Amino acid sequence: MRLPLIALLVAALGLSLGHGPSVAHAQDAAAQADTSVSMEIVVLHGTNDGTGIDAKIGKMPELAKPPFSSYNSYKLLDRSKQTSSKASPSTLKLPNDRVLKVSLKDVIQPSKKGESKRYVISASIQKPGGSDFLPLLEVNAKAGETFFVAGQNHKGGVLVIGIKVNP
Amino acid sequence: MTTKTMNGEARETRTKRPPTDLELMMYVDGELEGERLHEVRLALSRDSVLRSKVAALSLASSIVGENAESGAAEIDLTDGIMARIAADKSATRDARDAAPAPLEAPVERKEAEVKPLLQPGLGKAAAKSAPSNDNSRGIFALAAIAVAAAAGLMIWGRMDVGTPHSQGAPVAAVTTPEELPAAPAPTPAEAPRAAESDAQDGDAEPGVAVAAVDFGTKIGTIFYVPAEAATSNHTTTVVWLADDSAGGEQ
Repeated sequence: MRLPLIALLVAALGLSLGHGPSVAHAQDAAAQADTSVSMEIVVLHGTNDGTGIDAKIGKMPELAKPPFSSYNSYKLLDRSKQTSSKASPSTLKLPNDRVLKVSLKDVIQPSKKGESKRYVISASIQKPGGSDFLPLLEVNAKAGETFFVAGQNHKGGVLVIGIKVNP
Repeated sequence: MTTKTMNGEARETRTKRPPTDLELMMYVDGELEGERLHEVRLALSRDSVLRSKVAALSLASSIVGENAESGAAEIDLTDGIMARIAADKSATRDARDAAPAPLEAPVERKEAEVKPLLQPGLGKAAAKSAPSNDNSRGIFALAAIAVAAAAGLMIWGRMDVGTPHSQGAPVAAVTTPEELPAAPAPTPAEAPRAAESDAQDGDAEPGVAVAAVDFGTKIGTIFYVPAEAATSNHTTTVVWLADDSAGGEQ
């Protein structure tokens, strides 16, 4: 009577451990450390002209929240895909003739199971004359997450630059 | 009673023996007879102490006799005991202890009925009743707990505890200005502070964390838009740097 019960307990525990969290997937991902990353950069023009949010922008509910809600209208000026690596940063000319420079600094492998890689992205904005408008912005971003650099004056409104690392 | 010596003389041996208390009681009760009764009467006539004893015994006997006669008329000890047993309705009392009902008519006695201890069907449960030292129930309970714990571990192991990807992320308001918040839009300098405080109050992990920033000679602000307003269900990081934040440089 007792022997089958003990066997049942051992089998149940073994089953649970056998299907438990595995770190093999994370280790495989760690082995494939990316040296380049694809990014999507959107440039929006925020105004208070009452035209609303451009449908071309797509799903971006942040625009209805502060600080973006300071402007009631957003228009898509540019959407581009850039590939950046540690060796070669990508550049994008902005509507105000400034240059956005984005580069991949590092790829951080997940330390825990279930987490995703994080990308260390460096961004800067230079004026046409060569001086820096934004000397340095370094972020630690997950793939699929968008961060914004906003506030530059442009045609009665502001420029909003969204940078997203594609998975 | 007389005894004879070896020379044939007879001698009285009991006339001088005083009556015992038992003999006095028997005398009072009228149970003493014969020659001893005569001797006791003779002793009583001679001894005043014996007379007082007989008087006391007579008084006590008369009192006891009166009480016994009156009590016997009112109390039947046997009936009283049986009545009290019959009145006892406690569960511990066996039905066999019940006082027998007064039989006014002779009852036909039944013969003893023999029943098997294990009847078919009804007796199966009794036949399979667990012995007092059977601890299988405890073992089954332990096994059930272990299986439940194992199932919990298995579910926990299959859960994605990393980044929760909500399917119900808020939908972007791609629409006209009438659907925007009716309240007047705050100035860029005021609204960011509110957003920043909201983000700091929440415990959501930002999808993008600012590792380093250099605003140069300007004053910039970092905002965290609440997670419910972001498509990725994480707080959204916004670096706000205005051209005129340091004196209107274009």
